[in-house]
Amino acid sequence: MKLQNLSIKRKLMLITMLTSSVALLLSSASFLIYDLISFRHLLTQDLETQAQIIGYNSAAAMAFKDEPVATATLAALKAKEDIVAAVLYTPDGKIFAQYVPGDKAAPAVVPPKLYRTGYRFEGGYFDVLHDVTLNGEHVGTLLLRSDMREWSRRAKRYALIFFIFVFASGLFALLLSSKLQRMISRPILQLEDTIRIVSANKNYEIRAENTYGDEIGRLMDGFNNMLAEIQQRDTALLNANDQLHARTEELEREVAQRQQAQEELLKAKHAAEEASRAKSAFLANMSHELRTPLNAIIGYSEMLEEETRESGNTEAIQDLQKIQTAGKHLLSLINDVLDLSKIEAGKMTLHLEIFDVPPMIRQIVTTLEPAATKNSNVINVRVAEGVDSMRADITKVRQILVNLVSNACKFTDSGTISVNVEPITAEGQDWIRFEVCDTGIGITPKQRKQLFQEFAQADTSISRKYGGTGLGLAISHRFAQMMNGHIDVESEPGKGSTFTVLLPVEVKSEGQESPSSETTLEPAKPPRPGASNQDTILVIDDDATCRDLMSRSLNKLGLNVILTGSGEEGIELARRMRPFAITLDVLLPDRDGWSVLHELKTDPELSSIPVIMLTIIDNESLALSMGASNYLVKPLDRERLAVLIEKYRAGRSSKSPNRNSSNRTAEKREELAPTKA
Amino acid sequence: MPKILLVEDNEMNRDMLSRRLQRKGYAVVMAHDGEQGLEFARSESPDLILMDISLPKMDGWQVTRFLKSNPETKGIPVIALTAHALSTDRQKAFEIGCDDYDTKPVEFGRLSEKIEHLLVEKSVS
Amino acid sequence: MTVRRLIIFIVMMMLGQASYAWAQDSEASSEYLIKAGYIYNFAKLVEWPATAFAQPDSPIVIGIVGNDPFGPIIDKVLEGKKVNGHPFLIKRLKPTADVKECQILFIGSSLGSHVADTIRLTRGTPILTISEIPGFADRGGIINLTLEQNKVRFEVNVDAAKEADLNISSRLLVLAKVIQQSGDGRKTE
Repeated sequence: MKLQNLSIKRKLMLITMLTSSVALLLSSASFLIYDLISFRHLLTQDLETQAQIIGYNSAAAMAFKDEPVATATLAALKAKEDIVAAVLYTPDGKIFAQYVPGDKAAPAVVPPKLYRTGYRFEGGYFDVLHDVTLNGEHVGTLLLRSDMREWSRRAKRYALIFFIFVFASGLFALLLSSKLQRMISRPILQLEDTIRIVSANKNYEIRAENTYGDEIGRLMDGFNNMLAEIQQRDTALLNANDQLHARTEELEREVAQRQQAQEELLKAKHAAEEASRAKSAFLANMSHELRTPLNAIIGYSEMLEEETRESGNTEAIQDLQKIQTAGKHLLSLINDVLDLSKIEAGKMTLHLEIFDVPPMIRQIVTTLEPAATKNSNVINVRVAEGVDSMRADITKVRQILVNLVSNACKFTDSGTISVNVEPITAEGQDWIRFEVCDTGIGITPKQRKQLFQEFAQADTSISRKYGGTGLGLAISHRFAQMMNGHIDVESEPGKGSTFTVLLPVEVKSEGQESPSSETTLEPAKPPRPGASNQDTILVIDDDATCRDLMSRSLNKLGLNVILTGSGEEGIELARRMRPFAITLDVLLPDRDGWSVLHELKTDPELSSIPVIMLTIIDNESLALSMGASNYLVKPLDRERLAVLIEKYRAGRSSKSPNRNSSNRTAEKREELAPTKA
Repeated sequence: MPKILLVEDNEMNRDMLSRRLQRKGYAVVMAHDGEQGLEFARSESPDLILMDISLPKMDGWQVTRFLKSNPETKGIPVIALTAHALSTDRQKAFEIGCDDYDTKPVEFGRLSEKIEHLLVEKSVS
Repeated sequence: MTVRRLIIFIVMMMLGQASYAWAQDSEASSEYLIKAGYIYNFAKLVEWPATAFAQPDSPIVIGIVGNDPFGPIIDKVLEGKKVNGHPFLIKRLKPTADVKECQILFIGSSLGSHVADTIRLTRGTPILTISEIPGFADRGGIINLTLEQNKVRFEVNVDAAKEADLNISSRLLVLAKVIQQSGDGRKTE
């Protein structure tokens, strides 16, 4: 039972009792002890006095050696009950007379030394030795021995009283303390009670009743203050909570609203997407549906023309030609309308690729020669130095130029049409400027305003006279815009017009990210059957530095680069990874680069992958005859490599690199695709 | 006389093309869908295949792939006829294994040049 | 003083003799040793009036008349002793000498027949009369030394002491056989 854990009541009572008991004990003890000591002192004195008296009275007897008298004198001590022995000793220590009541033997002989007056407590007895003198002369020694019974009695009595007293007062103290401790404990217990109630019921309105002005009272006050504060906080908290709830509800409502809105938006989005899909489908369908019968018309009329020619019916030929013309015109109208619809629907996309400009120009001019000669016009072409390749949507560029040149041909009679192409730098960018000038009828300012607007040919009479749909320029304009370029016109009615098209050398479509320079090698994707990995290029080179350089520059082009220093491994990797192109160093450690090339080209799975030979030896003809798509001499011209890579990436070169002649022819053919007027 | 297998689902196109080809002096076998195309490729052993891409059920790409993976037929040159002239289509054509491609509507002159070229090559190799 | 020297010489001789005698006669001398001691003790227990002494340190004169049974013993015993500051002076006196200068008078038994005279002589004077003559105390002497069963005892006549203006301590009386006599022979014990 730990003292600490006793109740306040017990503690207080304990304290009180202990204190009072100790005080009592100490005081009474000291008092008693003092008393007993005094008493003893008294007794001592008494006995000494007795001894003196007896001594005095027996001095004469001692002097006269009157033993009976001495004995009688001693016998007078009978009256004193506490004297257990009285002995008169002669000066030489012999017993002269004695008084020993009861059966007790005379005390032992006084030690010879002790002849003096003195006292001692020994063996429970009090001995007083008195020097018996007669008139100053030592005649003997008196020993009085007392059992101090009075003192013992007294002491015993005291002890009893003491205990009774202590006990009684203890009880009293108990009683009193138990009553008085309430003064302290009651308020504490009250407080404890209050606290308990408060915390059990979480009711902070309760206050402790405080009628005390002392520390406990202050404690209670403090407690009450605390409660008040807690109450306040509680209330504040509740308020805050309420507010929070309200706010949360608000927010929830808002969220619900937003969610609803979101759902609606989503629905709208879906609807829009649906609409868009529908539009695309429609356009695609329309495109297909409209073209198909027209193609039939045109095709059959062509065919009929051929057959008619063979059969020699020249009349029908003209009619058939008319049908053809009308059909072609209709087709071009449909194409224009469809194009515009596509543009309007936002479905017109850019297909960017790197292509050579001069050949394209040549091809366009060639295609439009007939149109020019129709009106006795002459086309002059001038392509400036430095116009090489550009990155743009070739089809659209072609369409724009064809549109402009054919317009020039249409609106010029016996004149000159000049096509000028040159590179310029403006606003920190590289552009290619295409200029189409004619010496035709020109454009009035009023006409100019409406020039690029659809459905507004300069004059309805013009469409009748000159043909055309009126949509061509609008479409060209849009195309130019899409490629971040623009078309401008300068004209003087009657003198001629000059249309200028500015296109960036490198067209970037919206949202296209510039090739990141941090392309890392992706883990090998399982090759699709027959497909090549679009963005992976295989570098076979035994020189580590070379490999590193290649890797870095190719990474910059946004390619995944696989490196190997061995021809065998290269072949293996080519099989596995199907890169879209391979660079192959001639000098390889394990196998001759030529043999590697040979193997690559004779493997039907790999033969389609263009191989760029890299070597320090200039042996182009051998390389090409061996089947290399291209041949670069080290140290590499990085730009050249980049251009080549881009080419292969776009798959521009024909599939079979062996057929170099057909390569060019194929290119030519493809450029002559007459889909747009 | 070289035999050309024409795989085209559109009747008019088929008609036009086959007549012109015949006049050019080619023997023409016609298939109107991919399945038939595969069958005829095997059974007729044509010298060249004109493959329309937009075929119902199995499109021209698939058919070409089959043809090119089959040792019996992979030697036959294939010209893909596609309505699109996008670079991606060109790329795809080569990926699949087409020997050449052309756009529709067909410009007969251009197409026959391509046919001639491939036939010459085939005879050489 | 040659007389004195002579006396001393005689005394010495007597002492010598006495001591010789004492040595020879020990029994007899031990009795008187004790009696001498008694006399010393008597001196302690008796109070003389103030007039008895001229000065506080005047000697207590012990006169011995008649025969001297003590001899040099008493001188020896009382040599150097004092009682209340008074030393002792022992004089052996002729019967006719003036006894008034003594505080203690020892009457030898040779004067037995004349004891009454001596008593009469010393009555009323502060002289402690001591003797061994039987009946001494009855006759008016103050202290009488007796022998009882070989023990030295003494009788004290308190009236005579009162008459002599001597205050005898009760302590002494306790030890003594007290005799009260008015002087005319009537005894009251």
